[in-house]
Amino acid sequence: MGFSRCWQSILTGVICSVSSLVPPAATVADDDVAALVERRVHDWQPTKDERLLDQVGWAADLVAAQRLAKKHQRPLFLFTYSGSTTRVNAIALQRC
Amino acid sequence: MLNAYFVPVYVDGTYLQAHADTEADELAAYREMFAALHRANGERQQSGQPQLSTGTVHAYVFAADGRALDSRHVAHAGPASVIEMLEEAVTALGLSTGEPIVAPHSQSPRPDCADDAVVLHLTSRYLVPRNSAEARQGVDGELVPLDASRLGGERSGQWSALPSEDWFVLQRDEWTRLLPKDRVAVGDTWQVEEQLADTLLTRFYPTTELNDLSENRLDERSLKLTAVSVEGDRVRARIDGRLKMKHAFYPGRDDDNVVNATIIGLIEFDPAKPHIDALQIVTDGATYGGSASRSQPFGVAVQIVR
Repeated sequence: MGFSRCWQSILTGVICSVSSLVPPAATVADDDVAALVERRVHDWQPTKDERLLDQVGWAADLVAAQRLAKKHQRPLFLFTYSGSTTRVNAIALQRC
Repeated sequence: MLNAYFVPVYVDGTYLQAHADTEADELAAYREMFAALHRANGERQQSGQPQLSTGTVHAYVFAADGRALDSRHVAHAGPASVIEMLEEAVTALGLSTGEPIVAPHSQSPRPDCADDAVVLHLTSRYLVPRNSAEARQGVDGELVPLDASRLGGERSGQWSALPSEDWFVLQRDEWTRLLPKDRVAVGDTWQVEEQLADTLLTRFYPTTELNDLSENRLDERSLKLTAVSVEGDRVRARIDGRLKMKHAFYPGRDDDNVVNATIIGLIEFDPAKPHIDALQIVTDGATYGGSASRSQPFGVAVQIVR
C-alpha cells in the first residue's frame, strides 16, 4: 500500500506554504515549552476511533480461541497477518 | 457482529515463525488451520465449488469443530466484504446472538517491568494541514492528525489512516543517565549520551511497513537538556534535539527515505533520589520521505506511563 500521487501532491503544495508558519522548537521560550509539549502529547494520542480493535473481544491466542470456540460452539474468526519478529502485538501497535 | 457470534482472534505468522521455540503450541495450531483450509479446498475441488483463498494475510471463518468455512484475501477484505462473509456464516450455521466470549480490552497494554524501571509510550502519526478536508477538527497547530471518524469506510485502508504506537522500557541504569551527574542551576546544560539518545530516538518514524529497528541508521542525533527551574530537590529541564535517520519504508527494499525532525520536550526529576516525575518529548516539524516519495509531515509524542 502507499500514498496516492494525488495525496502526495496535495500535501507537498500545502506544506510548502504552511511550513514557514511553524516556529522552530529552538525559538520556543522556556515558559512555553510545557504547554506546547503537553498539548501535542494530548492531541496526538490514539483516539477511541483509532483503537476500534479494542472494541472487539479478541481471544489471547489461537489455542485459546480454538478452545473457546469448541466450548461455546461458536465459529472462529481469524485474521492472519505478517507483522513483526519482535513485537508480539504488532497489528495493535500498527508497527507491522 | 464479531463479539455477538464469533470467537475472534488475530495471529502474526511472522512473530510465530520467529519464536517457534516458545510458541510451539501456537505455531502448531496455526499450521493446523492451514491444513484445514487445504482439506476444505480439496473437498471443494471435488464438488466443483470455488476454492477458498488462502495466504498469510487473510480473514478466515472456521467452524467450532475446526472446519474451514470461508476466507477473504486482505486485498478483498473491505468492510462490506467481511460483513458479508460473517453474515453468511451466521445464517449457514443458524447462530444466535450472544455476549462476547472474551471481554473487549486494550490490545496495546502497558508492559510489565521492574519497579524501578520507566515505561515510555510513543505515538507516531502522519499529520495534515489543518485546513485540509481530512484534518481532525478542534486541534491546535498548523499540522494536525487525520480525522479518524472516517475509519471503517471502504477507502480508509492506507498508511496514513492510523497512528503507530510503541512501548519501551528504560531500566534504572538507562533512565538515570538522562539526569545530570552533578547538581545543576538554572541555565546549566548537559547532553544525553549518543547510545541513550539512539535508544530514545530510533522509534521516531511514522507508520511504515519496516519495523525492524536494527535497519534504522541514525545519521544525526542530539538531545540537549537545559535546566529551566530548580526548586529544592525538583529540577525541570527542557529538552532540545535533532534527528536525521535513514528509515526505509519496506523491509528488504532499500530507498533514500529519511526522517528529519526537531525534538522538544520536558523532564521533571529529583536528582537526589533519583526519580523522574515526568517526561514528555515531541517532534516539531518532522518529515519523512525521499526522492521517490515526497516528504510527509508526521509527529511523535512520547510520555511516561505509570
